[in-house]
Amino acid sequence: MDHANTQIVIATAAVIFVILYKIFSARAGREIYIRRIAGLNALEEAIGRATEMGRPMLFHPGIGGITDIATLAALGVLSYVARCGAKMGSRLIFVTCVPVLVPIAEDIIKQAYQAEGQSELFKAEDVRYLAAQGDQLALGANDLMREEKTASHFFFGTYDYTSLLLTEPGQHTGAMQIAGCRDYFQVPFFIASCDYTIICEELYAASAYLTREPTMLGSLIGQDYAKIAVLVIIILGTIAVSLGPNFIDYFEQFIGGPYK
Amino acid sequence: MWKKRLITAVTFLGGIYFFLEFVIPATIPWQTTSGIVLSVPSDKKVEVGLVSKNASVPITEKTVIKRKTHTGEIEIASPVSIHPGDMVIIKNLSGKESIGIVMPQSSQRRLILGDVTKHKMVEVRDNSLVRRMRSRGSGEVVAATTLKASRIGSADWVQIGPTTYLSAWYESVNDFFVVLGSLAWGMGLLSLWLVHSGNIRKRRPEWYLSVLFFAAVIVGSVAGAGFGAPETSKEWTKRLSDIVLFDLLRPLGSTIFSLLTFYLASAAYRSFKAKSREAVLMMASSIIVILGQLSIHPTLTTTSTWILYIINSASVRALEFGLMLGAIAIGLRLWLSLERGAFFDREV
Amino acid sequence: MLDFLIKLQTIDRRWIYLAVGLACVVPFIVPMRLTVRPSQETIGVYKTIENLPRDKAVLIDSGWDAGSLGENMGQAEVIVEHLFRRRVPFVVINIGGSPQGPQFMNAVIDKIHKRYPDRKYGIDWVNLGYNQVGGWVTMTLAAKDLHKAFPRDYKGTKVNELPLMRKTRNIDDISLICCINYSPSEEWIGFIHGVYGTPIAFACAGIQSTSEYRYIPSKQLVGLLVSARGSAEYDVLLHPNKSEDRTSKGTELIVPLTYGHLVIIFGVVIGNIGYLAERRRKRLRRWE
Repeated sequence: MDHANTQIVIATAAVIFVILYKIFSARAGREIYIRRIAGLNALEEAIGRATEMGRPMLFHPGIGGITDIATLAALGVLSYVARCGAKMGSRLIFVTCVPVLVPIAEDIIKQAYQAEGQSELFKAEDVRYLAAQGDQLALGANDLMREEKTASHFFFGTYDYTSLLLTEPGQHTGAMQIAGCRDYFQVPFFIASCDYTIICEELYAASAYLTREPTMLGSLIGQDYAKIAVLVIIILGTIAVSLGPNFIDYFEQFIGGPYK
Repeated sequence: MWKKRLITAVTFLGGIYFFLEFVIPATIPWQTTSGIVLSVPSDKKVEVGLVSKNASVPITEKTVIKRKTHTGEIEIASPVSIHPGDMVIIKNLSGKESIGIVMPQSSQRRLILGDVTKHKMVEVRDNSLVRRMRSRGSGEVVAATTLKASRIGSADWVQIGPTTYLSAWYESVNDFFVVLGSLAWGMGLLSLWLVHSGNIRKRRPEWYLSVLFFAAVIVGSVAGAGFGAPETSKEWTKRLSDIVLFDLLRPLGSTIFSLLTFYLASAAYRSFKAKSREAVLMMASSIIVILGQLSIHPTLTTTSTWILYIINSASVRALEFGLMLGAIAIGLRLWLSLERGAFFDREV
Repeated sequence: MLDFLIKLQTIDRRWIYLAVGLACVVPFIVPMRLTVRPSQETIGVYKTIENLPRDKAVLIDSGWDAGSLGENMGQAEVIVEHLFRRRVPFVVINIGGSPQGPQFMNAVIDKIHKRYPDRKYGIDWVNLGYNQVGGWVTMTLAAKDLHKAFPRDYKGTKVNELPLMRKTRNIDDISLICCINYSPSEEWIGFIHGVYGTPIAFACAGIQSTSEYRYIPSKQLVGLLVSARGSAEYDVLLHPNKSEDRTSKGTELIVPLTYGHLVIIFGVVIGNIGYLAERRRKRLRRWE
């Protein structure tokens, strides 16, 4: 449909209300609990490993553009990694195939190093636009891994078939690899070749988890409530389908069906 | 501070337009007339037949649907081709016939049929929108004179009413995206120019590769002139285009992609170990699916199809629900400028 | 014996690369044929195209390039051949795929055209080229007004000057949308099938197929061609009796694909034998 029907309006309003309510109640000081995500906990370990070995880290934000939500989530992780790296005195190399990300990443990493008083560790050449396409970027990144002998690799964002082109050679260099990807068909490749993998939606939760910022945590809880509502509708639909065609019609009318 | 406020205001206004355009109907609901087109006396007047529901008919694969065209001829129609406003004759399995006009509330599983109970002459004013309704509750704005009218058969289902003006801007906004997309290309080229010319100027390691890059850009641009020439053309640009595309790009692209095969084999050999019950289950299902795709034995193929259609579909849909709700939450935070972390909460 | 079995999990990866390489190369040197049985999803696409009316066009969104040539080229060949054979006109577009998509599609059409020389450009098919904006924006615009979304074809000719395009103006004039890409855009399903009900078929890479299978039970897709296997199966449906007429890329690649898969499975199995042998060794040592 190109315009919402009544049920969609109600559902949209309800989801927005729940998310905003949770955001503002988190900002008001309410305690929020989210479960442990192993991959995100391991970020500090990976950064520490690079510092001890005296070798740089590599960050790859995927092949999505700046309007891609997974890329925005990846930039949130980049900010955290840059701050921790600056605190521990480790060098960070950023590679991308999206030109718009170069000044943004430069700004994020520079600010992080300046805030920790480690401006001398930041080099503009460490933010590299290697190629225009994902596969060429993967080959360029592999070359970089071998040349710079990077100790830790971070892959967060949107990936296509080039995921294995990045992580398998990385695995051969002996680096510690942590990946987070929203594309579920690339997750198996990351699991097979990385030490830790953050699956799908956990990537969106990464910023909230790492920063513990009330707005982000509240939003996370709000979307979980929305998921529970969707689950209830799925269960009702399953029961309706099992009961017969008349119940399917009632259920379709209840959720708004494919028609106005 | 004012820059941040300006960005917040522009972001909010942009988001609110799309939100309202989706939520608010194209025409004012209580002043809109909806029905089938009986006649179009002029471009400012449309005679609309108001339809009341008289039957609700379930559609199965065995249902035979006949449609009466706008000239009164009978033709067999598939459920997919049925539009609101079509006059149909449906015979169900028990032989009972239902005749009526398809209403917009119909779906592929059930047709809601009705009869014309009233006629109404609707005036098409300057601020009116004439929307021809398609299946699935969507309509397109058309001129009144393009409507298909009929008193004896299928006609267009129309909604005529005063516009809410929001949808009128939709195409302009789409055009804006086209321009924005073109700008991104320019930005990419500019960035490449800056990076590679910097490499050459400062003689950074492997600067000669940047020289090769510029040479490739020039050759590729010249070769592009040969694209579109007929196959039999003897122009040198056509030959150059074929060399660049089919003799260079194609083998290079295929080579990079085929590296995956080897990496996949070594990753699978190294990582697919029966370390736990879940790992064993995963391995067993992946082996069944791979062997099922290879036409080795029908039982393997059937099991593989069941795994892909039922179990895989359920898990992918579940992941997709979570992803979409996460995307809605992030979109909401961006729209209302509540996003924190990275560069979002810093001064510009 | 246990020592030998444990060593099976530490084979140098270069031997594995060699085994995979041989498995893929040998079938090209020693010609082999395998029995290919068409799957449900391939039959779905075939039956749909077989029953299409001739007075409406098929819209082919082809965004593949050299990277996914092995998977998508065969799919493009079989679909174009079926459309040429049935004389169903088609319009090729590329919404947001690879910029080289139109050229690769032209090469496929030129190859199949040699078997059907009476088919004419502008009447039986048109290639409208590449639209870099992509996404649902261009899809919805093309559905409402195809001429506005693609005012010229890939040669620069105005679409109004092409006979096929004069009668193909919007989604009402399209009987089927075929999306041939490494990863077909799922926005076709939401924004076009969901709104207009137009049947859609996808032809995708093997790895992407796991996320497309869910659309088949819900009838949002009429069928799916999966990788080279899909095009080999389609070839069998197009030429059920004469295997020598099956010349698509898929038929060419199905044998190396099969042996490559078997080598990978073999590698997984021997890796697990080595792992289980090592576990047994550890358990024996604990008991000692």
